[in-house]
Amino acid sequence: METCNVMNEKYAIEVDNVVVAFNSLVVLDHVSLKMKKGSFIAILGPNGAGKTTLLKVIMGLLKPVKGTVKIFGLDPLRNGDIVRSLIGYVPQRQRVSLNVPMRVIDIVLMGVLADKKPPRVPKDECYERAFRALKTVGIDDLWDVQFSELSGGQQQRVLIARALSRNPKLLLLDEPMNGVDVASQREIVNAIGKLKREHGVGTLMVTHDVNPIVEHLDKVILLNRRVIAEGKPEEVFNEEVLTIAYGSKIRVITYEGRCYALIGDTHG
Amino acid sequence: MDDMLVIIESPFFIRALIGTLLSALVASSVGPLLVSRGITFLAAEVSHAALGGAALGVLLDSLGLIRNVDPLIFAFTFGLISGLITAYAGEKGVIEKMESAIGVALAMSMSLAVLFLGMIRSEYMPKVWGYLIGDLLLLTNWDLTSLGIATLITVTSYMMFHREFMYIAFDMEGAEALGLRVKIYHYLSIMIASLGVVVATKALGAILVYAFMIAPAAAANEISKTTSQLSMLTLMIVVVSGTVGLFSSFYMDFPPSGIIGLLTTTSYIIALISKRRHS
Repeated sequence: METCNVMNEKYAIEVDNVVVAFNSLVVLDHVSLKMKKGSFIAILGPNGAGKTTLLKVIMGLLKPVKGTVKIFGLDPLRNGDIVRSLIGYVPQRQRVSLNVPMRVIDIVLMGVLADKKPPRVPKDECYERAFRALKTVGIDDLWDVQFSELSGGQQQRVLIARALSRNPKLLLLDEPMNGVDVASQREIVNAIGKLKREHGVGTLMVTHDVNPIVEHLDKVILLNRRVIAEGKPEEVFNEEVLTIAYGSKIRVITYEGRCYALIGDTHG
Repeated sequence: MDDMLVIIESPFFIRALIGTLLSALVASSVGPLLVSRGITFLAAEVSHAALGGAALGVLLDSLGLIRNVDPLIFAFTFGLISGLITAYAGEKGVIEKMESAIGVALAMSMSLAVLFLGMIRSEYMPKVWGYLIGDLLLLTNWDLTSLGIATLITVTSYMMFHREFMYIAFDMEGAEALGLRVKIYHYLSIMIASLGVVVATKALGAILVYAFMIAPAAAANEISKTTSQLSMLTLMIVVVSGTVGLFSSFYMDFPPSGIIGLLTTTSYIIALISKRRHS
């Protein structure tokens, strides 16, 4: 019942005054943000800015010390299962193990089978959903290849396909452009655009490299434990604000009427 | 030929063969589980904890403090506690944390084992040595019964939850975000592995349990494309090594576990070279 009602909500994400601390270290300091349903938002900030922590709070995997979070109007701490069924999460690629012998299709099936009960035996319809997701990111021909044999960009697309296989209403992507080739970046951006246009699926992307997506963004949030700035890319990307967020000088260039920030900060 | 028949029909050999096949089934579940999670030394840790537990059981028996209690009960208790320590340390899926806990628990188990062994009277020592070096040819009917029960639990649980175990091995954070109860599966996987290792220790000994549980799975992991292939290949390597080891031990009068250990470890080296040559 609740999953039907959530789609009437105006906002996919409402984070209000959230504080997260590990021991005495404050990781998120009174962070507030709102994301409209079906919009595309990027969160930027230096390493240790609390970006991944914010994603975990949004999914209800981490309890804030203070503040509230609502996902399609639901508290993720109280309605964890429903909220997680609405979200497609893509973790940082560097955090997955390459030591498990799994093919591309097996990994995408993880997303489909997560809602079933053990022993989670896949049926034909599960394979159909998995193949559909692989097609969306343009790698359905690689279904039988072992994950560890793929390039970084292809691996990232497999993880996105796993998230898409759940037919999510909201995508949370943690550094999907990190170490990814240009062709894969383009496929990822196309998939996000297609989901938004055809299914109204919104995307919140944590990234260091905002330039490949800048023309598609509805909003940019600059985070460094607190929200430093938020708004359209051209409003946020000025050298003064970026320098405050990153603690060192960041250059901004304008090309064909769009602003691009030259940030060299990456993981892995 | 007659000699061969006599050997095959002897109760020692039949019990050893059943023990090998049951241990192979355990290895086909426990090995993939530990290799895929990158915590293979859990096998060494738990088997040495089992040795410490068995030593305590024998000690209490020798002092007349308990009567008719199989040391295996103490081995199980110590092995499971040792596994629990590792599982607790690695609750968030950090392999390095589990590796440290494995090292510490191994040191603690060995310290206890040394203490208990030092207090046991010499006539009781053979009961403990079985847990250190193992002897497939000395397995009793009760050993096979306990091995059979533990095999049933281990293999059934693995068949039921192998997807969950592999999902958390692949990506614990992603699995949690998908709504899986990762903490439950994390503890369950390590408890199942610990149970399997303890029971195999009785048959194979603490020293060779690593060669039996881990080397075949590590070999299979080099050449497998899926987790099902990983289990099946592990089973094949252990069954072949086990039966070849048993037969050749009769003909050449060598301890079977030594031959089995050499065969399984060689399988890993062959798999490693084979993969390198094909890539």
